[in-house]
Amino acid sequence: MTLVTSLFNIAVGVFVAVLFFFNFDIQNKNLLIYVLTPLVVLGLVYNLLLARPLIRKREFLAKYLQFFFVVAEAAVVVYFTGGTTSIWYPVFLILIMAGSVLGFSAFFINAGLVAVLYVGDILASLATSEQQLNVSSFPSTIAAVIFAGLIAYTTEKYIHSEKPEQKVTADLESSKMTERLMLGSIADPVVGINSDRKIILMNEPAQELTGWDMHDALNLDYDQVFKLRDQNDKELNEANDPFSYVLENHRPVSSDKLTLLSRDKKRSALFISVGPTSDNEGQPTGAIAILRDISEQKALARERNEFISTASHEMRTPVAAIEGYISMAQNPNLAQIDERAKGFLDKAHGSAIHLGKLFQDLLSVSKIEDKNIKDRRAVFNISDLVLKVSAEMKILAQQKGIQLFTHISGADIKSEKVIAPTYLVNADESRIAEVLTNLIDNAIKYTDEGNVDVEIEADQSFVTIKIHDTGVGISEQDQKHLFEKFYRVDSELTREKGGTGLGLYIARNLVEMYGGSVWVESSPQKGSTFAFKLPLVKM
Amino acid sequence: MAKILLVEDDISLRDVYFARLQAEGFELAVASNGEEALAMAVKERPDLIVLDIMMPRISGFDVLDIVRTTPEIAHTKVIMMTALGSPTDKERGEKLGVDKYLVKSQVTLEDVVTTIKKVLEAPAGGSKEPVVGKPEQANAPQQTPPPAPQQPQGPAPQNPQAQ
Repeated sequence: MTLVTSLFNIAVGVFVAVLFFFNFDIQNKNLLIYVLTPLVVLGLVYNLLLARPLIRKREFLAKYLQFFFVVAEAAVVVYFTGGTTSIWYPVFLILIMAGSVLGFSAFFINAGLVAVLYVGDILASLATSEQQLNVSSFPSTIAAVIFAGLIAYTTEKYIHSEKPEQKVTADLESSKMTERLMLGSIADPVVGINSDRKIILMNEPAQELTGWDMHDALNLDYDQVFKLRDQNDKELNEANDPFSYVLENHRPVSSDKLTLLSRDKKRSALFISVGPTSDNEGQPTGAIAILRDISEQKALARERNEFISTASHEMRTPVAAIEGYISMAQNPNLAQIDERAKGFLDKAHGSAIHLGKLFQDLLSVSKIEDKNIKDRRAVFNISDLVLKVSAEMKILAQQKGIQLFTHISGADIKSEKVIAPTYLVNADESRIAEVLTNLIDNAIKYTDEGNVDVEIEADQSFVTIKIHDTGVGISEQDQKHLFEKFYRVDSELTREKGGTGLGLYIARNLVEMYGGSVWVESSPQKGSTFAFKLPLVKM
Repeated sequence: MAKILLVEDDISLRDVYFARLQAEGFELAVASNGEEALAMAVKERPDLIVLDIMMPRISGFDVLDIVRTTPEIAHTKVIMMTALGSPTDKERGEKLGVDKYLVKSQVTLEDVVTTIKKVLEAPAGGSKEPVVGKPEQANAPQQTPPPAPQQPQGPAPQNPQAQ
């Protein structure tokens, strides 16, 4: 549509130019013609190409220019049609008014002008040879010409320049409505603050959650209404307040670690997601937070973990008894059984031990997921721990007929005295021992011949422990999932070896808890290297 | 042969330990709760107490505490054998002066037997004060008992590096 209008307007412009060319009488050197001709052409070009986008941008100068050009056009009409009393003058006025009212001013004015000029010119030249402006009526002509411009200008102003304003107000109204509607429909509490940390909006659920009425809460500091507490039930500080973070960094942040103290001192565990808001120019204006009361989920998770924990504890005694009885049945000094029964009992014994291990792993997992592990960090020398654990695991390796070597930055501790370099890390020693035991145990379990090498190396900031084996190796596909919960490489071998599918998951969680990472490199049939690194404590 | 007091409220498990340790030739006394355990300890004067923690009335921790503060039985060796596997519980036992802390179902019956023999063989004086004084040294990460329990005066159990 706009293309058609534009093309039409351009065609009209060309037509008007041609008309002017033919009407230009070299004999009749009226000054008005010299002034008006370029003005009308300019007005055409302006109306066609520039006026609308400029007016849309609310440049009022653009309006005055339009007014000026309409005046020029009116002058031309008056000149060509023989004065203000000509019938074509009111036609012109009606046309520009209609054009202005309908909002197609450029189109209508040009079309109308062409019609007026064309028809008026032909009729005038037929009816009279007198084409000259009557000089005596000059003041009334000027008034009429300006009046034409005013009509166009005021129509435009009252109908169209007001319309955008009305539209803005209407938009604002409806966007406020939408906002209210949306906020009202969101079942989770929503709160908005400005950059001065004052509350500017709160939906119904937010009012319920906090126990504050919107009217009371408005313009209060958010931390007066949203009394957030951290995991240790302490008030938040700049460092762990998500609102402060967002106001400062203009980046969204979320947390599920905070609790909220309502006006009547009720506690709710929260999931909170805060995002920055900005104005049209992208300047930060505050923050919007969506909160969710996750007390129930948290309680459920806690109950679940407690159940796992209690169940695992309670089952330990009977499992120990089962293991004990089987063990005694297997003991030739205590019981007489035939070979077949021994075979069955060996399997039963293996399963009982597996069950015991599973309890331990389930307990570890429920604690890790509950974030319930007491942070028992202490600085210790990991070299000593590696030596200690691998010395213990050496027995297991020897039982399987493979060798376990420990290398500390190239040194070999098979020799009697080794001065191990000190690598201090800040972690729970018994947890790291659990990780080490787990990884070395795996290496031994899946290596039938060859050896397992435990290596310690360090750079400026990390100490890395690598456990190489010459075992079966792991396919690339399995490597990706190895550290996931309950993931087990599905093969004859893993079923035979037993395992809970939790060991590596626990290892990853523990190592990551202390700021480290764990990974695996492996090629099938050649062996695997499991490694983890922990940040070094600077001495 | 050494005398062992077995304190365990689970009948099956008590039965298992009793039979197995009897087969090793130990002299045995049993108790099924804390009160009974203390009475037996004073009466029987065992060399070693294998002690459960979660028992009705007096818990294993309390029993241990009382044993360690009762002069005539203060030097009795104590192995805790419990379902409580958390580091906090273990630390608590070590602070009270336990000689070895084992978690049920994490060690096999044979492991228990090996550990008992080893603790009994350890020098009498060497197992109390140092454990109380330096709990972190007893904080061995694994309960896997080293083999070769036959070596008299062998390496101290808390020093795996000696191997």
